[in-house]
Amino acid sequence: MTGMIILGILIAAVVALALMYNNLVTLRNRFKNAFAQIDVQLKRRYDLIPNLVEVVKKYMQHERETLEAVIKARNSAVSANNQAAGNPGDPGAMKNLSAAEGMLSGALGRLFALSESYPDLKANQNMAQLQEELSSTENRVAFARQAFNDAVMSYNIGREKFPANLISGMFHFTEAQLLESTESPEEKKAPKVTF
Amino acid sequence: MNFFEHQQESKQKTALLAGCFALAVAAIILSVYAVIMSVIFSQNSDSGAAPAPWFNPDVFTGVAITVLMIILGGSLFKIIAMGRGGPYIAESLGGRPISQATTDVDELKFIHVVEEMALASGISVPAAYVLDREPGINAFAAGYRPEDAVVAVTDGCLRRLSRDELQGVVAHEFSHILNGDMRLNIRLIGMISGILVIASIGNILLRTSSNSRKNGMPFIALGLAFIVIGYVGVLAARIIQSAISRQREFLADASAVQFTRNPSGIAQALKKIGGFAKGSKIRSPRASETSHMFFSTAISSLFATHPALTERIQRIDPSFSREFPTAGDTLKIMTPDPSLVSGLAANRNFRGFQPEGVSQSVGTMDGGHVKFSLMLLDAIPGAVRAELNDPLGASAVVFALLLDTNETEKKNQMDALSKMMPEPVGSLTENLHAAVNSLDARLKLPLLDLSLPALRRMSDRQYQDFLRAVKILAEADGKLSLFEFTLQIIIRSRLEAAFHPATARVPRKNIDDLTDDIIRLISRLAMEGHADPAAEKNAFSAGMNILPLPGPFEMGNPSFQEVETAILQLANAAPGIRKSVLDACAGCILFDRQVTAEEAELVRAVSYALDLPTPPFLEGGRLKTEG
Repeated sequence: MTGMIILGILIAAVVALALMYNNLVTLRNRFKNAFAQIDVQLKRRYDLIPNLVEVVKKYMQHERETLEAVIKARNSAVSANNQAAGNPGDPGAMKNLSAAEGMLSGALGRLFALSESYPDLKANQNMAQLQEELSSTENRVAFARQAFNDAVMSYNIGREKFPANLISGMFHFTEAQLLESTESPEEKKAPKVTF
Repeated sequence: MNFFEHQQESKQKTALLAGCFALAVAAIILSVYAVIMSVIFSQNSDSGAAPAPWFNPDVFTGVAITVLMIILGGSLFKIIAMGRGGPYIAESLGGRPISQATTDVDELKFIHVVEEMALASGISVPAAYVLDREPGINAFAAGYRPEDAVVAVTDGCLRRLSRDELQGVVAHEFSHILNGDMRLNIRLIGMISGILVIASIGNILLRTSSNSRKNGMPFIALGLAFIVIGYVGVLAARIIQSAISRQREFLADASAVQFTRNPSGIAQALKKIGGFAKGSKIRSPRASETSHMFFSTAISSLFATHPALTERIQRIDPSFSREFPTAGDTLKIMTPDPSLVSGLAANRNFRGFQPEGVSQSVGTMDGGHVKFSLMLLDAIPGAVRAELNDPLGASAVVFALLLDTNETEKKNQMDALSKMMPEPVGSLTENLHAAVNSLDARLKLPLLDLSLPALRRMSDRQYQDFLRAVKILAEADGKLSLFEFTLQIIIRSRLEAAFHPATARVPRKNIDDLTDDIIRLISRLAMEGHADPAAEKNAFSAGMNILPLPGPFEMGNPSFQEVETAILQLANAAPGIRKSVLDACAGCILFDRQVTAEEAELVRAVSYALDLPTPPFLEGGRLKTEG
């Protein structure tokens, strides 16, 4: 009889282990898939920026540095995003992406602030449309980021909770990093230009 | 056969399975008992004690309970794990979800085919997955219920098949979804892995006892016996599984031809598999347990899960010469029989529409429906279509569907919405409202369905916010139409499965217990669209008389809350009851035979809410695309 009890306990332990493991895998898959949504929107944003620069260039010849800063920030954001998409949740990659996105938002913010003083540019249809699309993409990024962070949170909680924490180290379920808001502190401080 | 008969058959197959399973378990218990008794005998004869009787009730109960616990535990564990829904199964096989926003042409083609088939059949658009690391041509559908279903194709399938062939394959998978095969599959998998646990225990016994020298022998014998019993049991289960699985494959092939009205599509796909060196092989090590869910043989084994390719092709295309085209060959395209392709009846009125036919059409579709769903997709304005690609835009589309046309009511709703959701949603909804509102009535349910894949990608928290906003929009004005009210129920029932995977529901089998719920629903439907009380009464009795219930019935005046509870109760009823209820609803709504597109869509919305996949009604002519 004792043999059977031991067997029963053994089976229960194996089943519990498998359940916990599968649950962690599911949670990890979920947040990795959630990053794909951010990725789609960010790529859309990166595709819009060269068009924007093209339009703006004709009107703002004296603002070369600002334009170059935007292009530079965009390119480094593209590479930071590629790195992050390869390994969502990785602390280094997530922090790099946040920083690069912050730079890009800041550079774009300065560009839009400057563009206010060019009435011809403001009247340009393409410019208005691009600005609208960029801000709409921005909103979608924010929504997708929220979904990603929620998924990362439930994964992190899942791996730290007892008894899953006993196995999360053993099977390399490392802590995942949230994607912080891409708004740079500088941008938050920047006064809104109104006319 | 119709939808209900297929469902019934699937149930009977499950019952048959349960019977075979019980027999197998009994056989296993007896064998294990025999093995243990012989071990005891051999021990006793060594020590020279008196031989024990052959039947020892204590040992027998012990063995029976342990074996039952092990097998049922193993099966339940697997069924629960699989019951977490299609995404779980697809991801465990290495699947990657793809969305509308993809830039890959082949992926986009696949998504569009899935959308067309879903709209044509009336089930919610399933999530689309690609198995990137699989070069073979294969596909599968998985999930516990149609609402959490996924359709997955291998990379080889995606890249090598033409659109028509892909459509044939996807139609085949939709047949599995519609005919209840997915649940059958999950039970099969559960049963086999339960028996497999016995063999695994044998393995463990063998390994642990070969390490310890003392008293090792009986345990080694026991371990070996367990392994043999386990594998013989699995073998028996595989035979049952393959017998059932092959029949369902023929049914799915036949349905695919019926759905697409294009026998050449699926036939060519099968021929390509036959002529392709990698065939339909799946490399993932987890494919063995899910092998019978695939479109074609995923792993070669002694017991074929699928009928032979040549036999499948010959049933579709009798002229097939048994010679497969090799991959390089240009394929001869069979031209579809023109008599099979029915044109859409143009400009006909809904007058010819028969309420009696509604339940007959549930779970079916044909080439006409697929063509019609293409028209529906075309008629959705590009600006609205673009919003369906991401969760934020998709939720704005759903909110726009729920907005009232009355300006003051709309303002109330918008105020409530802007308090609930982050800012851009409000303005997006506002922008979309005009476009959504002017759409043909028949586009509203498809639009809702198309928004689901994006909405499923919200996080739990975002989903809760979204649900609350939907509820508030619906309740912001007390005069919300029944159609919009039903939309709200559909949204919840179709999305819930993605966020809170299937909880086993015990179907209500007795229609008498549901009489009050049916009266509430039919009363509400009768009140809709009939101005004077006499007409309401007539519509009510027209509906109730269809039901196999003894009258007379008193028409009530239920609140929306009561109707909602009623619908949720009825959605949980056995398929036969839901069929009668749908017939009664159709009889009530279409009672005066003056059927408008709005009324027909209300019937369809009710059938959605009752969890019955009803294809679009083709009568009624051209779609109104603007103004």
